[in-house]
Amino acid sequence: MDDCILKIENLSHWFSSNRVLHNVNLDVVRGQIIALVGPSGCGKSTLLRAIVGTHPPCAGKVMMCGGDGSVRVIDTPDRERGIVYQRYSLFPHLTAQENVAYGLMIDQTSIPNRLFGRKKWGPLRAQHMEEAAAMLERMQLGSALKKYPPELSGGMCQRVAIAQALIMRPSILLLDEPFGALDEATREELQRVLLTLYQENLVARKNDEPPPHTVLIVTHEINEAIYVSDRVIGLSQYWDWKEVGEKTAPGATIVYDRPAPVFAPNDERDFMVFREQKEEILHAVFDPEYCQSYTEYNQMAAGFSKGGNA
Amino acid sequence: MVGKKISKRTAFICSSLSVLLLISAYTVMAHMQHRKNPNDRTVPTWKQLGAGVRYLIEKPAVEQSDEADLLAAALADSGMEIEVETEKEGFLENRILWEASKATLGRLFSGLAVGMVLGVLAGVLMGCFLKVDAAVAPLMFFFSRIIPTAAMPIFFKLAGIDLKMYVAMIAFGSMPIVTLSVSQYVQSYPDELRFKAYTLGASHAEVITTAIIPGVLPKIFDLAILMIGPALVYLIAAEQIVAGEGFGYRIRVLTKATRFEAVYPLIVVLTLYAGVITCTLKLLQRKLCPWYQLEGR
Ligand SMILES: Nc1ncnc2c1ncn2[C@@H]1O[C@H](COP(=O)(O)OP(=O)(O)OP(=O)(O)O)[C@@H](O)[C@H]1O
Ligand SMILES: [Mg+2]
Repeated sequence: MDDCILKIENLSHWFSSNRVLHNVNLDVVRGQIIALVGPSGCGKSTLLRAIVGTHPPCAGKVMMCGGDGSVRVIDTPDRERGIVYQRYSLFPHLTAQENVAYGLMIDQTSIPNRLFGRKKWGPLRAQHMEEAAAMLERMQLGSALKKYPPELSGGMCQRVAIAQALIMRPSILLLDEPFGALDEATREELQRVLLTLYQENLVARKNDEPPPHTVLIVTHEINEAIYVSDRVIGLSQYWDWKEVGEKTAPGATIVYDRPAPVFAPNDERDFMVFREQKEEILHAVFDPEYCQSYTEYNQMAAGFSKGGNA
Repeated sequence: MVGKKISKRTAFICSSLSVLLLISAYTVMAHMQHRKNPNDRTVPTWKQLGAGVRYLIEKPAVEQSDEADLLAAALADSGMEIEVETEKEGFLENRILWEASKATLGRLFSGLAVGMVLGVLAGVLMGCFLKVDAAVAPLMFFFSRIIPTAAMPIFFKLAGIDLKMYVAMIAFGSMPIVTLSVSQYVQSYPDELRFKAYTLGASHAEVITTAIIPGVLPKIFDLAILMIGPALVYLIAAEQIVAGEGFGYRIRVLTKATRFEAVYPLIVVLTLYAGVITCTLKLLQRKLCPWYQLEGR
C-alpha cells in the first residue's frame, strides 16, 4: 500500500521577475515528521503557503492523496491541512479553551444551527469545551483554559495553537517556524511535544494502525530540524542551475533529503550524535560556494525513496 | 523620567485641583463682572445660574416664539420676573430640559444608529471583498470629505425639517467615515488568522462572522465613541437653524434673549450627555470584548 499523503509535482513559484521556487518535487508519507530547512529567504514559507493552499503555485501542483490512490489538487485551504504560524497564532477574542474548541464548533455545526438550534447547540458546545479541555490538559495547559491569548506566554500560545490544529485530526500538520520567537528552554519543551507525537505514531504502527500524525515543520535551526524530525529536507537556491541550461537564477529547489535519527521525548538532547549530519546539511544546503548537482541529487533521491524510509 | 506612571490617588488629586481651579476662576470672574455691571447676564453668578437651571426644569416648554422669549428677557432686564406662559405646568414632560433632551437625543441616536449600522455593513463588505472596496472606496472617500453642515440646506430641501432630515444628515455625515474605517479594520485583520479559520474548516460566512467581526468589534465601539462628536456638531448646527425644539433651538433662542444663565447649564447638560454615552459605550465594549483590554499590555 502506498501511504502517500501529500504529493508535490514540479512546483515553481515566482514574484514577477523574482524566481523563488524551481521544480520542487516531494512525496510526504503518512506518519513522517519532516523538517524543512534552508537559507533565509529561500522560499520555505512560500512553499508552505502553496501546501496550505492560500497561495497556489505559479506552476506545478500540490495534491492530497486519498486512501484509494486518488489524488486531489489543492488550491484553497481546508481542514485537511492544519497550520501553526509563528505570529498571530490564536484568535485573540477567544480563550485558550474556546480557541481549541473553535474547529469542532465549525466542523459539527453551522451558523443557522448555532443561532436557531439552541437546544441542540448547548449540550454540543459543552461537549466541545470538554474535548478542548482534555486536549489542553494533554499539552499540560490545564491551568490556562480560561485565559485569553495576551495573557499567555509565547510558548503557551504555540502549545494552544498546536492543540487547536491537532483536535481537527488533519491529514498533515504544517508549522512555519513555530518556535522562532521563543527562548531556548521553551523551544526545547515544544520540541518535546513534537517528539511525543512521533511516539504516538510508533505506538500506532506497533498495533498495526495507521500512524495518526504527519508533520511538516519549517525551521532555520538545523539542530532542531534533526532533533524533532525523522526526515530532513533542504531547500536551497545554491545548486548548479547553469548546468541544466538556466540563464538566470531559477530559485530554490530541494537539494537534500535524508532520514534523521529519531529521539524519544525523554532522551538526552545530545546534538553531538548528529554532528556529522549537521555538517552535511550546512554544506549541501547553506553553503553559497557549494553547488549541489541537481541531476546527481535527483538520481540519489530516487534511489532513496525506493530504498528505505519505512 | 518621561512617561513615569503615577498612582490613582495622585491622578485624582491633580484632576480635582484643575476642576477646583476652573470653578474658582469662574467665580472670581463673575464677581468682578457684576461689580462693574450688576445687571450683567453674560457671565452669570452662581445664583443666576441656579435660577437658569430652575427655569430649564420648571418652565413648561409650550411652543414658544422667539418674541415671547425676548419679551420675557426684556421684562427680566427691567427687574420683574414674569412667566410668559404658565398654563401647562405640572408635567415633567412639558419642561424645557426634558423636551429638549428628548428631541436632541432621539435625533442623535436614530441618526448615529443608522449611520453606524449602514457603515459597518458596508465596511465589512468592502473589507472582505476587495472588488467592492475598489468600486466603492473612491465614492466613500469623496462623500467623507463633504462637510455636512455645508450641505445642510440640501437636506432641508430634500428631507424636510422633521426627524427624517436629522437622521439623514447625521447618517450621511458619519457613514462614509465609518465605512472607510471599518473596511480598513477588516483588511488589517491578520492574514494568518483568516487562513487559520479556513484550515479549521470555516466557510466564507463563518470566517466573517466568527473570526473577523468579533476581532474588529472593539474597534467599532471606539469608532462609535469617536463619531458622537461630529454627529452632535451636525445636529446642533442644524437645530440652531431649523428646529422648533431641542438643544440647538433652545441655545439659540436663549442666547438671543441674553439669558446666558440658562444657556450655560444647557451646554453643560449636553456635554454630560455626550460623556454618559461615551462611558456607556466603553462599558459595553469592556463587557462584550474583555480580551481587548488585555492586548498591548
Ligand atoms: N508577497 C510577496 N511579494 C513579492 N515577493 C515575495 C513575497 N513573498 C515572498 N517574497 C520573496 O520570496 C522569497 C522567499 O520568501 P519566503 O518568505 O518564502 O522565504 P523563507 O524561506 O520563508 O525565509 P525566512 O527564513 O526569512 O522565513 C523572498 O526573496 C521574498 O522576498
Ligand atoms: Mg519564512
